Amino acid sequence: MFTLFISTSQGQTKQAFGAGYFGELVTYKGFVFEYEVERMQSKNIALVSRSNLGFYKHPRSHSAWFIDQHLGLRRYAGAFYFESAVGLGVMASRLNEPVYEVNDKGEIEESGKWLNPDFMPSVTIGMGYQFGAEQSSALWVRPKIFWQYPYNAIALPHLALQIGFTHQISK
Amino acid sequence: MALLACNKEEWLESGDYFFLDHKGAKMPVWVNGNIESGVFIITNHGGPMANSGHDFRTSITFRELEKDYAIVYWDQRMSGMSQGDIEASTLSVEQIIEDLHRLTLLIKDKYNPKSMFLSGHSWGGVLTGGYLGTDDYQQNYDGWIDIAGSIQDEFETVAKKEYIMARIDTTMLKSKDPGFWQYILDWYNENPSPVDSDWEPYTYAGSLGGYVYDYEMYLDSTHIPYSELVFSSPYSLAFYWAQPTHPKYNTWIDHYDVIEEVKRIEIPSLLLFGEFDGAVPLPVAYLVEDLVATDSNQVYLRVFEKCGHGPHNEYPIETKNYIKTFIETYK
Repeated sequence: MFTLFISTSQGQTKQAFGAGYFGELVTYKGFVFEYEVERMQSKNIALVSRSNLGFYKHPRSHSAWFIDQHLGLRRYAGAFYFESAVGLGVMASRLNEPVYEVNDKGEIEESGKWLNPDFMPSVTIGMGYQFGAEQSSALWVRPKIFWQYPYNAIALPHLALQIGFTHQISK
Repeated sequence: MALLACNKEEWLESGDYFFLDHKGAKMPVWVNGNIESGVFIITNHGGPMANSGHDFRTSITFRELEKDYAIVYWDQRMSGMSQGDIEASTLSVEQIIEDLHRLTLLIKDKYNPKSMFLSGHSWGGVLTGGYLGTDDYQQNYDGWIDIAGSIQDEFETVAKKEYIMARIDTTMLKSKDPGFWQYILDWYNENPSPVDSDWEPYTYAGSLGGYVYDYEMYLDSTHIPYSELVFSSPYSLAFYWAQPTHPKYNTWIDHYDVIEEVKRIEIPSLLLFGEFDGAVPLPVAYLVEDLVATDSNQVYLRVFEKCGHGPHNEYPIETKNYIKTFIETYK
């Protein structure tokens, strides 16, 4: 919906694909793929819509697949840009270790590892450096805080560090 | 790098790790140490909530005990790194006792231990005392290790108030901020009968040294590897920010009372308390000692002088020695 909004709004439009490292609490490894649409609002300011698909694994805790959509602002300063975005998505988590149930007769059974899907609101900030022909590629760093909701009746915050690469496919 | 590899092995690779799934809660269980010994200690953390069983592993006491025995660390529902999205309204003392029984059966099934000991700290005293006095559950264990454990809200709350009132006058006289201490007196005037979900008495007891008697000594005794816990362990931010500690979630614990259950305990019991414990004051230890049905020559009360609420943190080697002697006697 964000992407549609941006695609149909006024201004020059760019599309890009990217991929990167997704580290929950920095060190718990994962990856993220992205597709983004950017609409210039002025010479230096752009509205950005970004779709993410990602995965990470926190050993002895959980792994999660997630898909989320972000809407944010990007400000260019020479070859660099700075940005912030809010997002909303869903995550499907799976426990990383065996899960056991003890039934009422005291018998042990292995249980499923998948947890219920959760909502995933998020806030992301970031900075990037453009390079290549017509500055069509960029390296970026994006710290992200996202919430897993519901979790124990409230929401569990997660911190992540994303480092990746984006390449523009059209203008 | 070698240091990192060693740390990673400790928290993310050593021992057995699995989850107990019961009524929507996915509770992590870490079995670490000398599993081959066949002697298991199941630890039970305090709180409840805002706490984790994994914390015991930061104490030298339990790391040392791992050399001789298997130590079971677990997080109770809605505590520590426990997962799931259960409702707070489903929490009760009875429910967590039921969880502990499922865990006991799971450990027996997976490992067929030669002997088992049940240990609890603080709120873990309510849980383990309540568990052992329920049905025939104590037959699963060879001994009870109660570390500064409570058993009744009202008794603990009165003892805590007495602990505070016995110290506040002299503290206020020496203080540069007598208004702070007067605030505590005023609070008690307005709240003469607090309950467990009132956080204020715990804070007041803490400000009077009721948790840690000698903070310098505590820091020397207990080295918490913060970076390792954040970047290379099962710990998540749930431990810090996602446990429902707000009173609207934890009033279920108010008026807890397992006195009748403790009266039915007949197995050997080791009670480890701090002389200056302000959270679960020493009179609770004497009450437990009087109540248990265990032969008096199999009840061992050890009081640590100049010690607050965590003997295993302030006197880790002495605590380990008491526990080891107890286990070697009754395993």
